[in-house]
Amino acid sequence: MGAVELAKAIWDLLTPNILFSVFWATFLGIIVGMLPGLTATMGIALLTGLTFQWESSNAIVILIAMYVGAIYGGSRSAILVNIPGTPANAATCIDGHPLALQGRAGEAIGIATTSSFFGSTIALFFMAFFTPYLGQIALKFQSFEFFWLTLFGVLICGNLTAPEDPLKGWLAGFLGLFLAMIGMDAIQAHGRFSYGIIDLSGGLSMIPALVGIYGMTEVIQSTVEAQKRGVMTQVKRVLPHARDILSNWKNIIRSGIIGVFVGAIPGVGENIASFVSYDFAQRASKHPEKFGHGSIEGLTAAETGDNACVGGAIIPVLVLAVPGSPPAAVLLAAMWLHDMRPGPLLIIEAPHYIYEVSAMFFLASAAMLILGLSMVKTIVKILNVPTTTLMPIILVLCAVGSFAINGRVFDILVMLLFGMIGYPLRKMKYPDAPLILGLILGEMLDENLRRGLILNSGDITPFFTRPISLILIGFILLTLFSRNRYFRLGMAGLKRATIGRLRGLSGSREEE
Amino acid sequence: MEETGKPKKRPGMPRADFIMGLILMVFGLLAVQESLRLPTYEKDWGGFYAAPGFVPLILGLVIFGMSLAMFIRAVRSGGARGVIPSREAFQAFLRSKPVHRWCLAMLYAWGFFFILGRVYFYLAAFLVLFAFMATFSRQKIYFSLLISIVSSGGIYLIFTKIFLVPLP
Repeated sequence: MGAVELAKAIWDLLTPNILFSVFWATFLGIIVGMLPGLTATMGIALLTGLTFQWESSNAIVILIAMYVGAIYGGSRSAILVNIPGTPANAATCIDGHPLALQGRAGEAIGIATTSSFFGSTIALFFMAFFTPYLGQIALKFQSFEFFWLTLFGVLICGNLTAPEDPLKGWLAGFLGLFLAMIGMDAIQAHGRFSYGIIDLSGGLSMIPALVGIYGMTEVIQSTVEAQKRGVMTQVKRVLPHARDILSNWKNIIRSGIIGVFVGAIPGVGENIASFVSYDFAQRASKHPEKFGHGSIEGLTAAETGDNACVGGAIIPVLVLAVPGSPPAAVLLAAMWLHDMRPGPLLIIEAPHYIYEVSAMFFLASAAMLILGLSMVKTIVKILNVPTTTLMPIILVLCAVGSFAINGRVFDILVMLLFGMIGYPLRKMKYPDAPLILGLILGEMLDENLRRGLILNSGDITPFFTRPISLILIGFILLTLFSRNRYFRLGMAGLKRATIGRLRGLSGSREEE
Repeated sequence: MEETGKPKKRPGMPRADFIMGLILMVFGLLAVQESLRLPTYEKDWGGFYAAPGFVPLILGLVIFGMSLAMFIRAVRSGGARGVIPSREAFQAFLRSKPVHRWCLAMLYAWGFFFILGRVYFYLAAFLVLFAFMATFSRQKIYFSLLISIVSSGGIYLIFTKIFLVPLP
């Protein structure tokens, strides 16, 4: 059933107009991803503003193509100059660049391309065939569950994006939630914290804030720190050897599944997915000693994981309206801008949309494979463009992208302010992702907490008694206390006690 | 068993955490105060839980609590020492290249913002591009001039003719 609908959706998208859009947006995405400092989130945020006037399906396919292209494109600079083009490709540097130093840069690019495509294919499978089932579960979500889900999203995102100091991740998330409170509230339409500024009465515009955090912050950081790029290595044969792919099939499937699941966790993103996939691949490898010295397995795992995460991150966007990663957060904001209403009701109101988005994702992945294996030597020359030339152009594009949506100069001001706030926060190791996730989920948290209480006349019991709520509360507690020393000691004690009890039971049975 | 001998490394950057903890604590308290000033609509909606300030109040309290925890941690790690820099350290900070670069980048970015709408967009874009490249780039000045002209003209044409986007 799903396969037929997916095939039909792909067929419907095979028009010259859409195909042209897919190819140029994927190409642009590869370039954006390839250039250090330009991220997938920034690329999507900029394109959202620029394609705002376009027809919805064309605009969304462009954004998805940009997303897929940028996450893949970052592997180019990771392999060639040892600088990840996007944070998602940090794990690619570990084995990609050593391969390039061994004179196998082209081969590494070929493996990264095919692995990314396989990762996308695995994600497509989950998107098209599992999303409708998840949508059925999402229908059971009421205000209580949505409240816990948003809280869990912000906390887990803070936990995973600030591994050294989760407190900073959580603080960033709660700051984002608070900033989302600016403007009219969703229940009584009462203006909050706008202090008579008319431009603030509708709340902080999402896209200018995102462009500021990801685009302007990068402009400031690159200018202040005057980053230099490494020496680029030569590219020869790009097509990968079939044996390298076939011998890695288990690794590809495992990394793809990990990527999808990490992607589905709210706000976590591709960088975590690639590292987790890499870690699992190293543990499962027969040659773990080769990891870090140009291991094909390591490179395959990292690239499969991050591109599978793209599809995984879109799944909760569709069924819960909760983004799985920062670029998916912008994609969600773009869907709202184009009058699409992803969320639990999508499965009832527009179930075909799941297949349409899956088809868009498939076309973007196919374009990525074709473009990724061709014109490599030409495209990588873009890496020679100096940052000092690129960044002012990005600044102008940030201003255009912020202005384009509402035609308000005030939005450029928001972008600049977020850029100014974003730089010191980044220097003090406050992660961007929870701040942005908080900003996006803030309204959902506010509305659902208050609506749940209003419907039950202030009774908080349903928040703690419904099964899905209980599961989410369990996850939240685990997120909060997983790094606590006493919690770990307690868990270790529990594990020892359980093992001892099991041994005791098996011993007594043997005696019997 | 815990490792002995080595003191346990505390996460964070003590001095920055000390300052940021203070700032966020003030922010949290202000958020609480402002939330309490919002109307409660208790008669119409049943209780304070329906008030527009209810969630911001909770968020303000959580931000205050977390920043207090960070502040205490920073104090324990010696973050309070040397928060007020010596005159020499302050002068060295003012003389450092990153600070100069930051000030110039801000000057150009805000300058661009303030001239937008007052001059033609492509002229404003050309000015900011040229100023940035002439200051921070190592390439020849005429090359920066050429790139600035081509880029500003290109951005103007692409966005007005292809993307049909209104420009400031």
